[in-house]
Amino acid sequence: MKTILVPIDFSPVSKPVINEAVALARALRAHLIFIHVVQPPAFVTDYAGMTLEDTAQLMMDARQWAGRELIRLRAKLRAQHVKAGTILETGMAAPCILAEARKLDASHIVIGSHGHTAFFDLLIGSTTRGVIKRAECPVVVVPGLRPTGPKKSRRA
Amino acid sequence: MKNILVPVDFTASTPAILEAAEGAARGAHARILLLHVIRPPIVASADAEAVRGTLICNHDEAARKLGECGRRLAGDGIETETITRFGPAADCILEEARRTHPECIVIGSHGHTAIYELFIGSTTAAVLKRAPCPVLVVPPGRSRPPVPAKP
Repeated sequence: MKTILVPIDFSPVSKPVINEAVALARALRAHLIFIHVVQPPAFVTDYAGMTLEDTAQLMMDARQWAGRELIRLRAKLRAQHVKAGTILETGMAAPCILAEARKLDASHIVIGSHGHTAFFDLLIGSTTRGVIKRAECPVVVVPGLRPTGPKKSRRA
Repeated sequence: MKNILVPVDFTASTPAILEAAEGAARGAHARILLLHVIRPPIVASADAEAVRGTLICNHDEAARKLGECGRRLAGDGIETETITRFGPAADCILEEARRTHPECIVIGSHGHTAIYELFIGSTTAAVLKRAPCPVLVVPPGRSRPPVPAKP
């Protein structure tokens, strides 16, 4: 069975990404795996009154929150009769996503055009760019904004 | 009927793009719109007649290759239409996307520019930036490392 890997960051682009991934999984009769990567903060020293312990606590909070969100997503999809697996990783997003894609021998990666970085990227998100550059399988890039009015909604 | 827009430039990545497009079309019961964009020459010549001649020659060549691809897809049971346009590649692709409302655009990660680019082709980058629909980005070839044999 084919596997579709879907990196999500629970930003506004995640909803169209999930819809697209579900549609693709149905079309290809593929299995869905959602991955969320908790990225370490850019600074690693005591900073702005934050100690290293605070940073570690932030990472743990982020992991817990993401874990709960992934469980909620899986339950929501199960209610729609869509089976999905979830992976929670810590590290740099693009390398983690590429390593999982290789490990799972993913047939496709479905990812948002923006939103996979802490700071909004005007053009294409840096994670998405990193994934497209080095992915060995086709990558479906889902736009976050609909420039030409709302598209017909896809019943997932 | 649903459309899938597939810009092709007949470079080495085209077979992988057609393969991915065929899979998507079969799954979504969609029609493939094969698009080839002929770009105006970069150097404007005083000899307008020669430029026109080159363009017509390019058009005939593109039409022949598009026809070949279309027939091969049709042979596999995929409804296919071919489109040839003159102009800047990204703009033409995006205009066709707005005109035909495709489910998705299937494009190569490289190869849509004359000079090989190390990262993402400039046409593909421009399409990704402004596409109104999901874009399926296909890597150049089967570059997967061989799966290690199980003992």
